Amino acid sequence: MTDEAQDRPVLSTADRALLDATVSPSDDQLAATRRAIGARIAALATGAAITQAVSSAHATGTVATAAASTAPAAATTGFAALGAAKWIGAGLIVTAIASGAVVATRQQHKADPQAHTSASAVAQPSRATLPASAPAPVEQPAQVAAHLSEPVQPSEPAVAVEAPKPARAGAAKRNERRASSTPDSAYSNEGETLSGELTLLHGARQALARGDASAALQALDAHAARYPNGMLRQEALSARALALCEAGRTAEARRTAAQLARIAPRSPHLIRLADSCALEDTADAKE
Amino acid sequence: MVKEAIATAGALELHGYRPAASGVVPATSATREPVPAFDEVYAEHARFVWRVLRGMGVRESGIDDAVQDVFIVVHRRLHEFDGQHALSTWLFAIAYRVACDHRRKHKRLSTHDALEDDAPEHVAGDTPSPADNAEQAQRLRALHEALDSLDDEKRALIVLAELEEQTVPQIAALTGISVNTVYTRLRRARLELQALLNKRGSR
Repeated sequence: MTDEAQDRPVLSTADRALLDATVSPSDDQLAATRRAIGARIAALATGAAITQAVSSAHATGTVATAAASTAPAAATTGFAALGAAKWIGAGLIVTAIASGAVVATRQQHKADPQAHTSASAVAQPSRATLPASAPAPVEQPAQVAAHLSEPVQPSEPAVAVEAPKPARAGAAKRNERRASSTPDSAYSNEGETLSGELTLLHGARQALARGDASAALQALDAHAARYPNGMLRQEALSARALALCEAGRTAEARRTAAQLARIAPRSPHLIRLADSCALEDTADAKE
Repeated sequence: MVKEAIATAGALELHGYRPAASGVVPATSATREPVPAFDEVYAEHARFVWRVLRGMGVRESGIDDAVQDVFIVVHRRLHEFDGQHALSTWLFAIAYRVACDHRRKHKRLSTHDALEDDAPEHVAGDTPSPADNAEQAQRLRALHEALDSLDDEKRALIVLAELEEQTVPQIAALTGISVNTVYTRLRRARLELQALLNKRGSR
């Protein structure tokens, strides 16, 4: 057999060098792309918040304001904000915990056809094979939500967790070594956890939309107590900051925002807080 | 050796991986680490993603968008993270899909047109002479054409094995294909690539 031979590279060192030069980005290119991604992410976050504001008929002033931070007229009505969304960008799936966000994602994709590619491009590190000819491995809920053309499944937010769970960057090696046999019970627990989290957060959001800060905070307290390491912790912190603002508890709101910033310095939720009492004048507050 | 063993373990682990279709979610929230910083992921893996996309045939003109697409997905889904799989596995899967989409989209473009924006100036080297440049450009074109003729999977295997210089166990871990299957398919891909290059060379 020619096995032996074919286990060796086909490309010569020179070939590789040639190709290598064309496939490698410069640091500048990487940085530029990073900036572009940042802009798109910001747009996503803003868009999601906006449509969420629209979806809850009476949006909380804070959410809408934060959402429209790039728009001059600060979201007096959700629809005004929606105008901004058109040019702002695509939806943020994190916010899919509120059904409104799913709408956001879809609407936003109209404005950002590129995101469609990314959406349909999500793949599972599924064990079977590289899906060479058989397309669409497992369509992930997150992608489904992002698919402009497809109807929104009611169960989306909940299924979103079924996505593959990649390892932490730093922990990758470690995790590779780790055995992967998680018992079935653990899997279902996770699903239950998420739906529990969703329920509480949704409740908090609705309360917030009504302007009922204390009910919102109650729901968020329950969330924090039950799911201290919950998947939607960032969401919860963001909502808490808004609720605290609503309640006039500025200092606490700021502490909450700071906590969120510590956990996720790049969290899109921070953008939503930008115009709330939690983050505005942060500079003054710090000094 | 040790490295290989680790990579093998990764591959095996992937083999035990349950696809999301079955409606399962690995790991409990109790074991979850905080959501990793997006910037960290980008800083560590953007170059890899970029190279994979380019290697898979995304052109210079489309690479920025393609990398953005990958990381928008990453950003959107990062919170779903649990540490069951190597981040690179996940990233590769996303990049692979983006690249395949791209390939399909651009299939109609003739190879010649598609390669127009891969200017020979991009070729590295110690200030090669114009003659070298021309020769290199021609060779590069031949390589691209040959790679373009491979199907998605074969191309991916070639890219990982020959450009990214990943070992077979590492490729298995990245792709979720078993080590033996990677060996078999990679061998096939190499034979085909060799044949394509030979054919072209003899023209």
